Amino acid sequence: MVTFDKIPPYISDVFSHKGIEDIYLMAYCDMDNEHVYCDTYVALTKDRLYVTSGSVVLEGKEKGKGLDSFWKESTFVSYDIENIESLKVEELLSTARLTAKTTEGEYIFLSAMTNFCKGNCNLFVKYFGKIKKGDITTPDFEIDKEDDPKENSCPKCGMRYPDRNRKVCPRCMEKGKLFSRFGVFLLKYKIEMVILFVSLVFLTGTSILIPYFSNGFFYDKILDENSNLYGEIFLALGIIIFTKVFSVFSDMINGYISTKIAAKVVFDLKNTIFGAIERLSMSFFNGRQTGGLMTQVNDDSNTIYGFFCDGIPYFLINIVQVIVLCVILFIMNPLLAALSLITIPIFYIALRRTYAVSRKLHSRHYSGVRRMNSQLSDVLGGIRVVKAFAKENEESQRFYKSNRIAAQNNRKLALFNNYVYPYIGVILYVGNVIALGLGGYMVMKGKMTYGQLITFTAYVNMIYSPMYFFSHMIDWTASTSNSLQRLFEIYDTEPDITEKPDAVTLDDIKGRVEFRGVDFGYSKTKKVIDDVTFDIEAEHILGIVGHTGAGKSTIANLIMRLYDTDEGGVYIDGINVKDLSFKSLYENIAIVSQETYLFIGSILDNIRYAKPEATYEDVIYAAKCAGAHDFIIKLPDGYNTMIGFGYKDLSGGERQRVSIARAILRDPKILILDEATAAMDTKTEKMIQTALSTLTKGKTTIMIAHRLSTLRDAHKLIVIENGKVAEQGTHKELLELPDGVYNKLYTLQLEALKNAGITE
Amino acid sequence: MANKIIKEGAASIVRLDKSNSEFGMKNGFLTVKKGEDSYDRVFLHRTFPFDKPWEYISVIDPDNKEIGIIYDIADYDSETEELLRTELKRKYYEPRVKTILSLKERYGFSYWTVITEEERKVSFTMQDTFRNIIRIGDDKAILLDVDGNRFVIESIIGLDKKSHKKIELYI
Repeated sequence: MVTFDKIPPYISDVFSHKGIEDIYLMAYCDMDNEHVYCDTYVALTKDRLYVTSGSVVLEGKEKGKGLDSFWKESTFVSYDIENIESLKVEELLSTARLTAKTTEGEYIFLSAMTNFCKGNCNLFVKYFGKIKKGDITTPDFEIDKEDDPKENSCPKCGMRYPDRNRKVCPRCMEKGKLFSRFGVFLLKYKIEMVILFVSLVFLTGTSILIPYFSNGFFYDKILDENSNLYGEIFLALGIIIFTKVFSVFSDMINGYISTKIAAKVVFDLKNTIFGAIERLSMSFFNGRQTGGLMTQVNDDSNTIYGFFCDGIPYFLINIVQVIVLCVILFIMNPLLAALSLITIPIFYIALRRTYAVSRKLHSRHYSGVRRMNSQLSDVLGGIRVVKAFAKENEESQRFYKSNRIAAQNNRKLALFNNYVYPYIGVILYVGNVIALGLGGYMVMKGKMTYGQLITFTAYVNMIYSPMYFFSHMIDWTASTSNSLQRLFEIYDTEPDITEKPDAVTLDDIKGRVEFRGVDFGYSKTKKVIDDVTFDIEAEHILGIVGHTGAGKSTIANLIMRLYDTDEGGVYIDGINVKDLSFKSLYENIAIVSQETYLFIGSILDNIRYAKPEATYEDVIYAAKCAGAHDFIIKLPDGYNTMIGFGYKDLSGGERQRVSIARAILRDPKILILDEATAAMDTKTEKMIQTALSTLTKGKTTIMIAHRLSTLRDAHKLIVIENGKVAEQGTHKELLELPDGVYNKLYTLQLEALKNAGITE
Repeated sequence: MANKIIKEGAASIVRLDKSNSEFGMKNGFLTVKKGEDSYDRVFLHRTFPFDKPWEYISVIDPDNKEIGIIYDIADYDSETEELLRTELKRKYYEPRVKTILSLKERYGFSYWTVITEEERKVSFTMQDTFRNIIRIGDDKAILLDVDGNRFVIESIIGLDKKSHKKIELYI
């Protein structure tokens, strides 16, 4: 039996007691068909489907002997699967329901569920289809690897991954491992690391020696009449200056090397991550804002840079310094050392608590500023609309409100920082007072020299100052490990679309395209393409028609293999695209989509993007075919006009024409035009259509268009409705279907065009 | 009268009320009879789910075609009103959060354990927490978890002090 959820043993017993054996599949729903919370189990044998609902009831045993639990069944129904045509998980909003469609076309409501159970019920539906078809004939069948619940939960703790596509268990992820993985990037700079370490040792050493030479040594040796070095002021000054210069020099070396390493490491890291991002499949980018992703990579890299450049070196210096100083202090005067340092734990606890509050205030301040900024950019971006609707006052009011909140948060944060931190500092000051008071008493009693006391208090202060840093370091480490985790997560994500090692490279693609029983969905729970089958002969034109969101562009994406099919296959010249090399695919297919993207660069660069070796003449020819030449030459810089972010802004139609020119220049065997002329006026569209019709000769062309008139000359048309092929045939054949979808759409559009005064 | 067309021109709105439509249940599915037409399965959609949860309800057939709009479910007799209310509650199922027991953030996800008004203890995970807490007005919020479940906090100010402290950072 295959189960997608943990099935308690008493449920298996329930079925056994009813004589139901050889269960193939079982799934759990957390509601019954009245949408009331309870436990519902759906089970499938070779010929029957069972649904049982109930709950576990706890009942007291004899006094003092705990509780007994047993399953209390409220409903139990079964259906002959011969009478069930299909099962479906229908999505509501935050709930779903499992329904069955009978062979007579009736629907049966089997169970409701929250979205927690939806994913597993979808798998139940998938395997029900396979069992019913006879593809699975034994209860001990193997499920596909990606459907295995074990694949979706942490092998260590069993927790389900929060995101199925990112196999990262937040509970088990070890911070230490993250930092050691990052260490690989540092290993490239071994020599610099050694210099860095040596400079750190010198820096720590000199920072401890300076207070000794300028205090204890100066007072007790140079100014003490009984000392051998009495009066050697220049010697003392020489030593002090030399030590200080040496210290500054070590600090400079340290700063130079650590900045150099950190900058290089972050450079390497960004390159590695960007390389990984480019390698990833389209599915990774679904649901992620590309801008957000790049900001995340940049911000994370900067956090890591800051941590390794400013954090780690100073942490090492400070930690070594504190340990050495503690040892020295305890050697100098154990009692005074213990009493002076007693305030440190108290100070540390107080500081951590203060940080917790401060962090909250910071977050609140940050979110207030973020809200205010986004509102501001929203209004400034839409200033034309604001003015057109005379909404300046309302917008000012709205801004006033968010500005006031941001200002309040800022004031609270500043007040807190200004009031609380000085109070916290007082705790340390107490330690200092103890050292001075008790130390002074000891000097008077002759148990300590004056120089020793001055050196001692200087060292105590040197221990205190890194405490602020250490406290901050904990948060810094946490945020850096977050950043490292996010970057490694991108790096570790395996692309879904990979080239097979033995992929076929076709040098001469003919261009026959075929879809055989293709199922596909961007998420596992929702089919966008449902059992689509069609073919198009090489060098023919195929038109794809359908309402917005019917799945037309998805078909184009599947031909390009931007995504892989869930079921069935896409074939080019009889070879599954999954078996073709990327080179064969991308060199022979070009797409002009409704979303044109032009990179920062000249128009020439953008047209030549797909074929850098193209001559100037080729570029002009392609631009003329695409109807782009006329507007380009009117620009002062012609084909060298810089476009893209921050440069010349082209209109939608102009951008579209440049991207058509790009595709034409490539001269592919299969050309996909996905609403390529949607952003143009009718006159320009007609002009380009004429050019395209000569260009499509000798190429398999797949045209997706809303304006059906542009598809009249296609050799074949397919009509897509809700992801399925509703009709297919030529323009003439489809018009002959009286109640056909195409017929209705065409008539409607014709009338609309006539009303607008446009004749075909 | 089968159709009450409120506005005509570029588009039309068909208003449904007790005079032209009759709702019922069959095999656990909502049905409607409008004039000569009967539909064995229909779906209800709130057009203004936050502002008008019981008004302007669009009634859709299985092919996603709108049959009409119920301006107010109270326009029907009490039995039908209850039927529509139940169906809407089922579709827009949003457990109300009474107490937030724990809220921990780790590596871009936040882990919540809450007690709902039905006294159920529920644990769920949210990704990109700031973006998935949808504020409605000044005091109400909807939480969207990674599975697409929705939880509602009717009054953020009305939460107990401990719960408020936990969610405070995100609002």
